[in-house]
Amino acid sequence: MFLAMLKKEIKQVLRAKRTLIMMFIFPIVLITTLSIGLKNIMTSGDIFGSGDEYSKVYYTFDGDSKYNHGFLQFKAGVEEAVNIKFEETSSLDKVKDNVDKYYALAHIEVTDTGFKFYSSKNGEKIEVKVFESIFKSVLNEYATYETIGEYNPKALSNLVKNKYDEYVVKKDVSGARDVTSSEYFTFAELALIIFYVSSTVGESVYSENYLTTINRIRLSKVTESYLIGAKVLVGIIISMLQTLVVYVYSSTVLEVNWGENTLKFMSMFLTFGIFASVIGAIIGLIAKNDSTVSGVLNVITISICFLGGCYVPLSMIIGISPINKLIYISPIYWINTAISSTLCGIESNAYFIALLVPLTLSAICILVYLGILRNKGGLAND
Amino acid sequence: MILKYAEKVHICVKNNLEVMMMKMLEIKKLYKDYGNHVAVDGIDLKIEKGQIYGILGPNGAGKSTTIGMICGLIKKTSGEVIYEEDTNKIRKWKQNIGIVPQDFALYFDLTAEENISFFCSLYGFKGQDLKDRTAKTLDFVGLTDVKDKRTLEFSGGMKRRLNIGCAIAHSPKLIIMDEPTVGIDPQSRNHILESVKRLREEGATIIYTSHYMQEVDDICDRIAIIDNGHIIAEGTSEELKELVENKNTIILTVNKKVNGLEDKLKEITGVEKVIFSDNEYKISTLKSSNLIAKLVTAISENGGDIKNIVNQETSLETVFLALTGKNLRE
Repeated sequence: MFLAMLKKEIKQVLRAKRTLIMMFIFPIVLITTLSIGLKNIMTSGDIFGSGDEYSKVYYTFDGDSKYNHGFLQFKAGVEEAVNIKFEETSSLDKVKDNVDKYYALAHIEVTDTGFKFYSSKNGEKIEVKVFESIFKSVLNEYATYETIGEYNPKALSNLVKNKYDEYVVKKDVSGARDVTSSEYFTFAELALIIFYVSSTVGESVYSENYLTTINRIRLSKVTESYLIGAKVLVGIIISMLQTLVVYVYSSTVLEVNWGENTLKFMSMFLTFGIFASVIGAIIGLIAKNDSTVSGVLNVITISICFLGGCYVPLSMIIGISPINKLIYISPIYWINTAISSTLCGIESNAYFIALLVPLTLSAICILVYLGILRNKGGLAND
Repeated sequence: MILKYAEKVHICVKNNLEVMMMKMLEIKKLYKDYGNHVAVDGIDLKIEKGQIYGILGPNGAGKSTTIGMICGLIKKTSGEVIYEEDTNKIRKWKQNIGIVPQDFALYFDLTAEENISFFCSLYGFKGQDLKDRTAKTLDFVGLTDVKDKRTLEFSGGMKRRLNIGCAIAHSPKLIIMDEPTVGIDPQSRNHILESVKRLREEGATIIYTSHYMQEVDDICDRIAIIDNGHIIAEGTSEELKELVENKNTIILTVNKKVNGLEDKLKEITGVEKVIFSDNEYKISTLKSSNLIAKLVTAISENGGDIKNIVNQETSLETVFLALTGKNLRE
């Protein structure tokens, strides 16, 4: 009986031409367009310039501050990792015009009470945002860690290093390389497209309620859980097929090297496909009308995909405060981080987190479903 | 020899009578409220095996809620539904029900054959048995010629027939049909009514709700009239008509509605119920009183322009009007 349901679901998907195009043609177009169109943004090593074309940051010491030492440590670390040069100046007034005209990223004044950061009054460019995020994360928290630093100087240097790695990284690992735009957008957009499976599953579940076909199913020998299960399984199958299509296309046309990590990457997309299908089914089950299904799922999709770096690269999102505090809740963030780390040869736990987050969220959704079933699902009056 | 044969005939008749007298469904004090609104107010019903049981009532009378509670699709507030004198557990008995909802419970992107086959397969039928049942059902509802056509392309009548097909392919004991002939052409309606009779001949029990009183009158063995969540009358068509044998229904067609005229007509001695719809005043009166002259005068004096007068024969419609003071389509 479950097979009959699965067969029916597959027939319905295969007959929905618009869905098929959205599922399998759109990802190819999207990945190709973004890979080519946003190629320049993704060369993160170049964001602060390359070779002799470096970015500049002015700084001023306002007396013999207790923060001077920490700042110099930060300066050395940054200059070593990326193409930024620091230049001391006696005051902001002397260099303000240069900063406003973007000849320099910023001016930092080190005072007795901490740091004063000045960037162009004409608005911050992406590279300024990235630099400011690194700076604020590391040095503006310096005061907080002051006490720790007094007793354990090593704690502070670890903090600087961690924050530093979080934002700029990638090139400072020996033998590692940076992620190309094709690689980044192949995986980020694949995750985005897979999440749209939630809409397909959600609308399919909702339509059973709308058409009242679910009542026929409730009165038959099977329960509605069979139906929901079949729809979720079809969603998972679709996400696996999407991964395969993108794998073939990206490795042959875009020359993205999945290499020995193919199964590792696919396993992340599989767990993500499970999450997308399960959450779609739950929303479809709860929703009272069609526009609620699409509305709620669109909001969830856009939020998760934006925070995960599907619309703009993660390096840009990290520079936007306070959004950068929310990125950890997006399973796509962890997938992107895990893939980037793996491709760049950086050791991290991101892969396990990328598997765990969608599976945990799916388990929560299933618990919600069981709660719904207990309260209003199935047959009454027994 | 003759005695033995007579004994066999006696046993056979006795068994058939027992089957006929067995209850398929018994509803006791069924009650459903939605907060302050009482949808079904303590309904009692007994439906015997092999009957076509009609439920008549205007919109909002409680028909669909009652059906929903019988199927377990709506949670009852109180009361009891007993299936085949055996159980009140719907989960245990649900596979004996075939439901034909008022809306089309069909997959429009599947063909007629795929729809019937899918719903039938949910009862455990597979292989050749499933194919045979699907083919037989398609033939029964007259859709064999279009079995490979997608449901989306069907006319309203064909969709109605397929809606029935999906409910009966697994041979249920109880078929519940909620307005199965709404919005279809006469040919499809006749086909459906004939199908309902054939299903009874094959042993099914049918609960049939409809707005069309003539078809309920034609096919139902017993009829319950529901209004405001109550059963206000129950019996065979003849028994219901006897309830109003001392009453008469006069239909006066006018050019337009006259404000306040209904109240004035009700003041005439012998007038019991008055309703106005589609430029017609339907007036239920006592048969003994000859009121036509008084009614005509009252309408004319109040500015009404009478186009036609009909003294209607007793029908379920006049029964309904006399008992509820409403049109069935209200």
